[in-house]
Amino acid sequence: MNSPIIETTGLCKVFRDFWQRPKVEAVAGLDLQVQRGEIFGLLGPNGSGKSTTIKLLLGLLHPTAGTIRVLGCPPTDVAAKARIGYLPEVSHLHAFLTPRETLHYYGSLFGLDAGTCRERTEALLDMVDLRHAANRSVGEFSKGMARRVGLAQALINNPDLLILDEPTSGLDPVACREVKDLVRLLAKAGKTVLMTSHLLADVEDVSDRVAILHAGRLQAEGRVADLLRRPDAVRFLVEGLDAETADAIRRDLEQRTHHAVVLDHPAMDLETYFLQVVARAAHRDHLTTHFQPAAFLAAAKEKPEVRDQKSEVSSQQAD
Amino acid sequence: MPTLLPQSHRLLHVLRALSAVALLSARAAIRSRVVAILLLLLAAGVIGIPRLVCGDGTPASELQVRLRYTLAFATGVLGLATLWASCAAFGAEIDSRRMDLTAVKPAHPLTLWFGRWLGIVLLDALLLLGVVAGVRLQLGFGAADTSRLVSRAIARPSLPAPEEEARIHFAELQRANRLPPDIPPTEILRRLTFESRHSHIVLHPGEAAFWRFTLPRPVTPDGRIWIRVQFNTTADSLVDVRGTCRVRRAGAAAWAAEAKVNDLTRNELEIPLAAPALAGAREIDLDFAYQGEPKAAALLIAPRDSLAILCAQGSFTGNLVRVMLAELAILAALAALGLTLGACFSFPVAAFAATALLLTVLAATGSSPEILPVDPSAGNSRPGLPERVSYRVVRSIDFITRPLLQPEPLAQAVAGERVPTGELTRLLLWGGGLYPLGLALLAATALRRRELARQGTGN
Repeated sequence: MNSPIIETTGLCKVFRDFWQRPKVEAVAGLDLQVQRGEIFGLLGPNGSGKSTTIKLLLGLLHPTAGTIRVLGCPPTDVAAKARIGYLPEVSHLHAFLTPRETLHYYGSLFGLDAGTCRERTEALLDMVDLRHAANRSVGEFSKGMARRVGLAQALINNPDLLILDEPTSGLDPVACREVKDLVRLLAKAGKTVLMTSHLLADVEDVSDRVAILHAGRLQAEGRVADLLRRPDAVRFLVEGLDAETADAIRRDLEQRTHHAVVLDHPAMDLETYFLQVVARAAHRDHLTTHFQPAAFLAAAKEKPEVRDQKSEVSSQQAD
Repeated sequence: MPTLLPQSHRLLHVLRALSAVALLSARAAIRSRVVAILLLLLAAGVIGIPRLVCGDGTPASELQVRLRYTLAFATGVLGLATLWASCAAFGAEIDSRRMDLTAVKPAHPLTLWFGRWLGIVLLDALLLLGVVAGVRLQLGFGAADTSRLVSRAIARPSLPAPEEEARIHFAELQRANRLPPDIPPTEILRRLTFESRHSHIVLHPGEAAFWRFTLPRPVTPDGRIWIRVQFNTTADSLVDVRGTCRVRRAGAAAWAAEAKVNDLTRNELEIPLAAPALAGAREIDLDFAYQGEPKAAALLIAPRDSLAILCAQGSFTGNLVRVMLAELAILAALAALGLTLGACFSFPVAAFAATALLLTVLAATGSSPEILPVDPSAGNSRPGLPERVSYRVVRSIDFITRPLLQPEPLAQAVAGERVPTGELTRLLLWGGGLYPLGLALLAATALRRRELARQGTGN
């Protein structure tokens, strides 16, 4: 049996004041396991302990109690760090460096030789569509552009474990979708991804499993499909159904089940609609938008699912 | 697919990280315009100080202004900039959370520390080199008297070591049962050593004194040497010093050269002598006959401190490079101090602590007594607790900083003395090696123990 990539047992973090009096219990007895190749979403409201957990996993904070194993090692282990890519919630880049210099710098910290560093830097600049701004200072960048540099630096070492704190924060919907596609591709390539986001739809789109924290405690954990599935209700999707037939079916179902049956037309989500509009506009103007197809992405590029406009009938059993 | 380097190439890995961090340090300084401002300040100092500060018109004073004041100003400016920049290197990085991204990379804290230190020290070296080059150019083209642009080895009289003299004196006092009962023997010995080290002879008009010198290198073929006598007098004003200086090979029957002294001076004489007969000599006898008026003031000469024979060694420019290296060793130690404080505390605290420490060291170094002062009027030969505590504090600071601050290469260069290789090596070893290493270990421990991300940062 494969050992988990991330494992915490009874993890606690208490922040103390200047006099060492306990102030806040940010994480309380957290038991967590993330398996290899999994996309794991960490969810929770503000102050629930998501970022604190990530900082504990990275060794930026020390646990008050409990144990942490990341890639089989303590979080401060240099060998483990060499296999981790990290994107913080705010990129905190050196404002005076250009994206190219930034990637070179972080690549050198990983011990990459000059040739490899250069090669990966150029590929990542292409991937995040920053080649045109590769020689501008990061300090001049918008939040979204800085975010892309942050994402690129997280990938410079070809990590086995990617920890993304709010990866889509500050990005426009097109870039958000590209990040989510990238996360899926990385997982397909055997990488493990741990991500947090306030945008639940983002996590839902890509995560295999999620954990929901509240007040530092684990409230729910499991596969997304399992958590969201409603075994007490059934939905039919039928294309090209006229209103009369649909109404007849509804009445028949109500008679058979003695429960109310809801009949509606499913709508596309706004993200999908937005992407379609932008893609049409780009096609019309012969422009490409945002992330460019990069060599290491192109190999396993996969079109995201887009839900079609269909008639939808759902039957819900009364409790 | 690129992979990380194997175990056997760990050194290469460390060197790559080290050079990347050093380059980052240099880029940070250059692109934040710190270097541009420093360059302006240093250029203003090198060009402005000789024009703004007036000496007393003598060549010695001119050299003092052009060399000592200018280089001291440059070292001071670079020292403060180095201290604050190094405090910011970790302190501000951690405060602004930029350190998070670096800390999660597989670079050891020592690598990060030494990379930062190297970057700052290399920048300092470049700037200092520019200053020294500027000063040398000014001295070469503008100095009225280039005869003082010399580099000379210095020799003090061959006398018993002060510690040895003190031990003999102590034994005599012990035999005579005259040791003060309320002072510890170690303290008595320290005081006797101090007295021996600064003991002086009193030379009245008509009296003569004789000393033997062992030179660090043979006298050059032209036989040029300089005799330097610094003294105090019983008079408050200038003294008309008349006398005769004679030198010979040690033990030779005939004197090789003689110089008449007739100088109105306050406390120093430097007498040049050309004695080809001394060429190649390593041991020299010096005889000084004080021939002033019978009522003239007596001369108080402390031979260990203030009597020297100098002989040419090396070039003035070469000596300036030695001075530069010595000043660089101090800057390197300051950079190490700042980096470690920045690793331990937030930037404002580190900058404040660094500045306070620097001022304390300067104050302690300037006023550090070699022995605990005693107030004879108090009637008690044992000083009180506050005096003893403050003495210990000052002596401790002096003990820690002595390897860097005690030799004064700049003063030596102004006096035309070659900075001895041993002293320079010791300075470089302490400033560029031992201090940084100790402070780096401390910083690495702090960086490992310190929580780099704290609560309350909004994420």
